[in-house]
Amino acid sequence: MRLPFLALFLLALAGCANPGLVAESAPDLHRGAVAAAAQTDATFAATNSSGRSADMDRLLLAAEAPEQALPTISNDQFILVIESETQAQWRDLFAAITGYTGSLVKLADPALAAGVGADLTAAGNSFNALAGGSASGGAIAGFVGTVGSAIVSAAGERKAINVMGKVDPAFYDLLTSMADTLGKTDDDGLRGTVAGTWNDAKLQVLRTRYGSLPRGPEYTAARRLLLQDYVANLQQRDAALAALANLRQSMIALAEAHRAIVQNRDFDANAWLDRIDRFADDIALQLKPK
Amino acid sequence: MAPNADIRTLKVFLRSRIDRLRKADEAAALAGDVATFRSIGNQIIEVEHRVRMLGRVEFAAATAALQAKLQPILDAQADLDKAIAEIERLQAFLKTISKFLGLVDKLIDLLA
Repeated sequence: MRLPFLALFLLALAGCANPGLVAESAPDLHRGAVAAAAQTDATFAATNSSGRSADMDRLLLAAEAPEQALPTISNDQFILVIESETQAQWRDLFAAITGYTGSLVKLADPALAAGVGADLTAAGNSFNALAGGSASGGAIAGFVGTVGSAIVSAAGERKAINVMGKVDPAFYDLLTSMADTLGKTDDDGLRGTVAGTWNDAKLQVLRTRYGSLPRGPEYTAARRLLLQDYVANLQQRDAALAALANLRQSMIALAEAHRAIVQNRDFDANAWLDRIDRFADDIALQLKPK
Repeated sequence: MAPNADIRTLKVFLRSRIDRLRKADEAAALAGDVATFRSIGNQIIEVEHRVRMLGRVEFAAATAALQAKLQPILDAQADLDKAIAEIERLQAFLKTISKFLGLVDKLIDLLA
């Protein structure tokens, strides 16, 4: 039978020990990249919103001080931590990443090869009809279509894995650099800035208000409100920092999954892709309005 | 020193200032000095405002640096798109052959 030979031939053509890994993994990789792009947009919007809210609290508290000059409002008093130009640059980064993963999906998609197979069969049938038509001619046309589809599929997979291998160092470097820009810890990068907004501005305003209230049971209700606000702010801070940490992890997972596919580590690739799914779900949950 | 290194140094300095102010704020609270407590609290918030401004500049600079890493990804997509286009061209070619052979078939039928 020719099938074992065909399988070996296709295996060699694919140039890897695990044909189909790109076709299997690319859609998850692409979905993860698209989810990370959407979550980055949402997380950046939330970061800017908390910064503006902190500025509002700061101005309100400052205006209460008796020695303060007349309070004024100006645009400079409200900071966008992530300016629109910076946001646009992140969108460009993700547009390139999702464009690349989208093309990987398309090239490795078995439907693309199946289309060629169907057209080969159709062409074979046309030749057969022209030659007078015979049952064996029809069978040969079908066989040519099947083999053609398999060859195109394997060639697509091989091309995809070659491109992935060539770009992997740059892909890994870009994704991990993006992750590092967000901050390795809550003291670093954007995470450090966001942590400061909550700890040294929003929560500080509440600490100052709480400590400034006169003693006495008549202020218990006001204190309770401030404490409730403080706890709510602590929870929002933790959620904001967790969203950024998860976003960082999802970028690292994308880089690791890409590398595992290139290195043909099937198990690792799937493990990282599972993590990407989980991170995307976690981030969506954290950003969901309560 | 790279601009972001300068920004980070300044941020570290301002954060250490916030830590010192916080200790002074706690001392004022223990002493029951509301005016000082409020004044230091306001200073902490004002310093944080500056730290955040630096954070914005730092993040913008780091993001700008990422753009330099983009070209290989765009090149990779172009490579993939070229391969996809080749397959699509093959498909179009096969379709054309089928169509052409169909026409020849009809012509032969007419002549027969």
